[in-house]
Amino acid sequence: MELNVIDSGISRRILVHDWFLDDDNIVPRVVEQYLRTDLPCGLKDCKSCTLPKYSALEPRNEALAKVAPFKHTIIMDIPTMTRFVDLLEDDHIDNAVIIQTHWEHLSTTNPQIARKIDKILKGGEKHLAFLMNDMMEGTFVNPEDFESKEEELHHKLIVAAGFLKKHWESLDIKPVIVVSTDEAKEAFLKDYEFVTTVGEYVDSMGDKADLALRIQYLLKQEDTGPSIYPEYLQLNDVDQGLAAGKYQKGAFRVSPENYLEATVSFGVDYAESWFIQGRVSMNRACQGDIVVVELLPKDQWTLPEKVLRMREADEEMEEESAYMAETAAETAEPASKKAKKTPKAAAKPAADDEFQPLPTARVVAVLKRNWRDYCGLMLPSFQADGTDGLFSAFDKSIPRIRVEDPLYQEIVGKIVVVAIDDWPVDSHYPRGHLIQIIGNNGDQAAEEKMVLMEHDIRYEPFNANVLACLPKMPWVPNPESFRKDLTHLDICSVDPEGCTDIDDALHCVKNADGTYEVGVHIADVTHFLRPGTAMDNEASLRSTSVYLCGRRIDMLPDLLSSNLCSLRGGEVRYAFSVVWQLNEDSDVIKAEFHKSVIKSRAALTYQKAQEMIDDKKAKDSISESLRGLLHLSKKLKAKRFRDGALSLASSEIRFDIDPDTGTPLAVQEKKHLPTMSMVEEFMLLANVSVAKRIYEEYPDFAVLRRHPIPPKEQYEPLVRAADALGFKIDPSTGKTLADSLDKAVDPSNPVVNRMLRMLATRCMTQAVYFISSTMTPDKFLHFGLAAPLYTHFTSPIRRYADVMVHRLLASAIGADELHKEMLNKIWLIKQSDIMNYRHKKAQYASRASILLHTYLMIKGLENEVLEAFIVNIRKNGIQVQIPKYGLESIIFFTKSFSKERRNEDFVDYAKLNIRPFQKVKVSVSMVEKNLRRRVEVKLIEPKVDCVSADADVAAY
Amino acid sequence: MDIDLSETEKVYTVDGIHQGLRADGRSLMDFRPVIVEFDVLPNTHGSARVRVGGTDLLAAVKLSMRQVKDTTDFSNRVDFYVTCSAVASPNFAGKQGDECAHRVASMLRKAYRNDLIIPELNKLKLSNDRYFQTKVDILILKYDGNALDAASMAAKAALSDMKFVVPTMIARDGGKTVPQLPDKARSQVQGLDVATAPVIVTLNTVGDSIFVDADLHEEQCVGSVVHVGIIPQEDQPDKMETDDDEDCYITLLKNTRPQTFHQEKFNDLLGAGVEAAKELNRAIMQRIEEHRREPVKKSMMHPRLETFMR
Repeated sequence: MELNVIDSGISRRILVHDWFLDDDNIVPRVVEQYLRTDLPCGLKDCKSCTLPKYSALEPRNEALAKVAPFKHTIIMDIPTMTRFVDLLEDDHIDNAVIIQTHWEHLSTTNPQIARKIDKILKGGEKHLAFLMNDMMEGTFVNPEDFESKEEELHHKLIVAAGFLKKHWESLDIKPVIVVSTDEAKEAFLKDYEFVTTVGEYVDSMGDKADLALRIQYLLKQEDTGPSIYPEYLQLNDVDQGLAAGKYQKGAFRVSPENYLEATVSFGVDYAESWFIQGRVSMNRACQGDIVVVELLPKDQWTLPEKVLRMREADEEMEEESAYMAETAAETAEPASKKAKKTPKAAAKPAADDEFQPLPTARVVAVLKRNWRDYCGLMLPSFQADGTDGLFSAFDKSIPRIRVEDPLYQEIVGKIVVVAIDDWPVDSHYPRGHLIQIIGNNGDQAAEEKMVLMEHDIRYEPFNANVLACLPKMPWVPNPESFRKDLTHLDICSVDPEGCTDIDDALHCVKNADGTYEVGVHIADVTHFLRPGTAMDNEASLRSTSVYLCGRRIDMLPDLLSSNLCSLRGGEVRYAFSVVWQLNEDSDVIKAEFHKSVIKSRAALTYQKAQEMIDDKKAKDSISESLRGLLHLSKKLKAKRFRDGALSLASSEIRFDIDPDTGTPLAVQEKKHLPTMSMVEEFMLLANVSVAKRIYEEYPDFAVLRRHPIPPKEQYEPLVRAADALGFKIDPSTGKTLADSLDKAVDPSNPVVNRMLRMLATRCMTQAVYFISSTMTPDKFLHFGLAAPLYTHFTSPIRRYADVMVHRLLASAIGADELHKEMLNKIWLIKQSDIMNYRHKKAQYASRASILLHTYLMIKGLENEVLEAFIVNIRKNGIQVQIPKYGLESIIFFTKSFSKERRNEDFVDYAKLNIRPFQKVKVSVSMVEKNLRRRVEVKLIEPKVDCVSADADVAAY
Repeated sequence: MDIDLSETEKVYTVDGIHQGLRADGRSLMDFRPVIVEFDVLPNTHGSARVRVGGTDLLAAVKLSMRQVKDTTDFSNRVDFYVTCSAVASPNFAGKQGDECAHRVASMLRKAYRNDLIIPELNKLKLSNDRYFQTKVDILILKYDGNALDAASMAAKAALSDMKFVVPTMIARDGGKTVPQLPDKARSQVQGLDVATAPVIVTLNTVGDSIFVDADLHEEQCVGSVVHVGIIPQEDQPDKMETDDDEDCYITLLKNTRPQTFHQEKFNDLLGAGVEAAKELNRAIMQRIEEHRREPVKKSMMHPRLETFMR
């Protein structure tokens, strides 16, 4: 006897038996399931269903299609859903019922489609219903009764349709099953009367020609052309091969220099890597995909071509031929492949002479796609009235994407967002579809939006919930017992010009005993930013402010960023102070941390501070304080370099932006003033002191920053470049690297040292935030700064890591209670991942923004002749750096040297008088072709036949 | 299992048995009614509940994947674990049931330690290095004497109810294999033929009288206790009429009390034991067949009663 005490519309309980693999064991599983009578059918006017319906069916479509001359709803079978999911977004197709079991099946077999259906359903713009047939009395079908999944789903669809038909009998609404093939129609007709194919359904709508065209197009796609790429292996074989060590799996990394070369790293610490060359071996893998690779036989091993190959330059001709070949369904080998083979064949013998070939592999399967939505430019079609064309992604590591859209002609030349759907074996390019149109190419606002979207930056204005967390204005400081009053100190801030988010200020007083009292005062952001609030949540997601040219995307609302937390001159502000007692040699005798109230005497620029220091007549306390700080900072710096800190260089430029139009007026290289490193030294000292303190207090939960020692191989380009110039670089430790960089000075060419330092910068690994309990203490090292412990404390207005550190420190000194999340290791790890990710993206976005403005600058120029330096020499071209714009570009030789004199590698260049880091003259201009803009850089001096390609090799 | 019986009560029981009468009205070779239910625990590979009079047991089969160097010469044995519920008998409070449980388990293991038992266990050798280990867990819910006989029936019934899916074995390096769920697992479910699974009958003696299926009280009064386990031969309809003595093997013979027997009497005892075991086996097999032919639908077994809160 079963006793059921129930309070809802449960009709009965079902036990469904199944088998599953648990570790190595096959075990039975029994799922308990309750069938209900109170689930909605989805019809808006349905009298017998009571639960609320969100996007409900309202079929008044008896005149819609001739094949169904009655009020009807449509239900699709699995193949139809998979292939025609887009139809659900079309206005003509409406009143569709999505069946739970089918959606669930799709979400395991084809998650992309399932997600899409989900999105359309939740969009709420159409009359759609989700029928919970697996939970409903009357539609439930026990899967135990079926041999195969197909049979089961087939039957479930019929039962669901039959149920709805009966349910709606009095309303005269009939569900119609829509299938995609005639065979499927036959099969369904045996058990259900209203079945139609998509083709018939749309055709019978009469004047919906464009829709019918699309259907036909989709249907046509089924017949595949000749395969261009090898098929992927079955998962079973992959499993076996991986276990046997025949295959390896890892992330697919496209070479930044050559888009037809890639590597896959695997093993412990990714120590081993296999090289992949050529389109066929790469076999449709894209940047970041997790792929399975198979080693080729030894005689097919090869080397990187040492050829610069940019998609932009290379593909232009190739695209057209490949595209044409495809549309014409030519069986002949596409031109692109032929074209590609030649340089490869030529490169090989040359390589064999000098180098050992690398283990070379090919991709046999893709386990996980790294696809996302891409921003980029819609290229013009090669056919005058085509409905499909190529899309060029902003991210250069992504191949062209073939996009089909009926409105294709209208989106040519627009900046759009595109998603990749799949990459069939018979297609040169992955297939994708349009998601969103951002704006016109060349429109500055649209391009800026693209930069933001592409880098996943949360740029929308803060929402009302966040703004509600802000303190009421006018705000007055309200003394708290733990807050020390430091308003009597002569504190000042030193920042770049135009800075409104001032988060640090300094002071220095010489004590009677010859020691110095030095204070670093950081904006007390955590006073306003309380944990768990909407504002805190938003800030933790943004993690960092993003600096674009002429625009800043704040982590915190403007009221905090530029006012309450900004340590403006002459205003009383809350601060978090680190006060040291330093001796004459800048050794820390004592360090104290406390929350404080300060009043900055002045907000200085670097320039102004420098002038005050240099002005011998100025004897006021601020000038004296600045002199003391500068004096101590020099000693700090010297000490740091003694410990092996690196001094690296990167090209830094800034634009003068017209505040009204946002167009750049002039470009300047950033100047370096002693006051800059003065501020920097004390910020470093503060960060190190705080890192020590929080690590002592919270050895398991300290938020620290580490910079891993780069593996030796990464220095390869640096060592080789230095070698070519006759210098020796010893990268064995930070100290030796710093020393050897110091020695590498060419008196005749002062740029050499700077360029070497820039190269060294590129060899570095990225510094990352981490939680102290996730690493062993020997890995805490910040390599670049030669600091055993380091963290970020000094910029809480623009970095969330600093906010977390502030919270830890505040609790360590008893000024605040620690939020429980700060002791939740899982949350901490997640947050540090977010911060690392956002940080990287913010950097990329800034660079992209600079590049964008560089383009704008260059646009107005007519073949300006500039100074440039060669950074890299390859067989078919050179890579030059133009300091004025901080721009890097590739210049291709029109004659590839490798083809003609393949055995004399570098000698050729000597004849041409080209040496690494040599100063050359180039002309820069903007070229626009096929809607694609690019900077054309031509070599003026010395004279070599060459073409250029737009490239930003350094950034990606 | 010392239930305190007074001397008088014992004498009464013993006297009755001498006269061929038992306190509850049975004859010496009568069993109490046996109730066998199958598939009582759905998340096991097989299960059965067996009641013999007041004794109540639950048996469940679990298969677990094992790895060995080589399965070819390896004998795949059924293993037994017996637990006694603390409420099975007033005397089992705490851990006192363990001894009884231990004894039953070791007897069952002994009885099953024979290659003639369930030759189909070879189906569970999946590859050269992997096999399914069969474990039967028996829980004594209520103890009212004769646990071993009941346990042997429960084990047999649970094994007959066993359902399993043979995984697809995928070859790996060095002759190793890895299991994978086969496609359409539901239609690949297999069972075991348990016709040759042993049945144990416990013979108790009082003086010259032999009796079976002693209840809790009678167990206090017995002189010797002999367990006889047989491997029944598969029923072959055309051989039904042939000589009965030839159609089974003895797999377990154990005298658990310090008592000796005269040879002639022992032959009688053994004969009676084998006879009883064969009869018991026939009954169980009939019940198993019946269940196989028409498994009782769950919904029919459990009529429902619904109460609504509103």
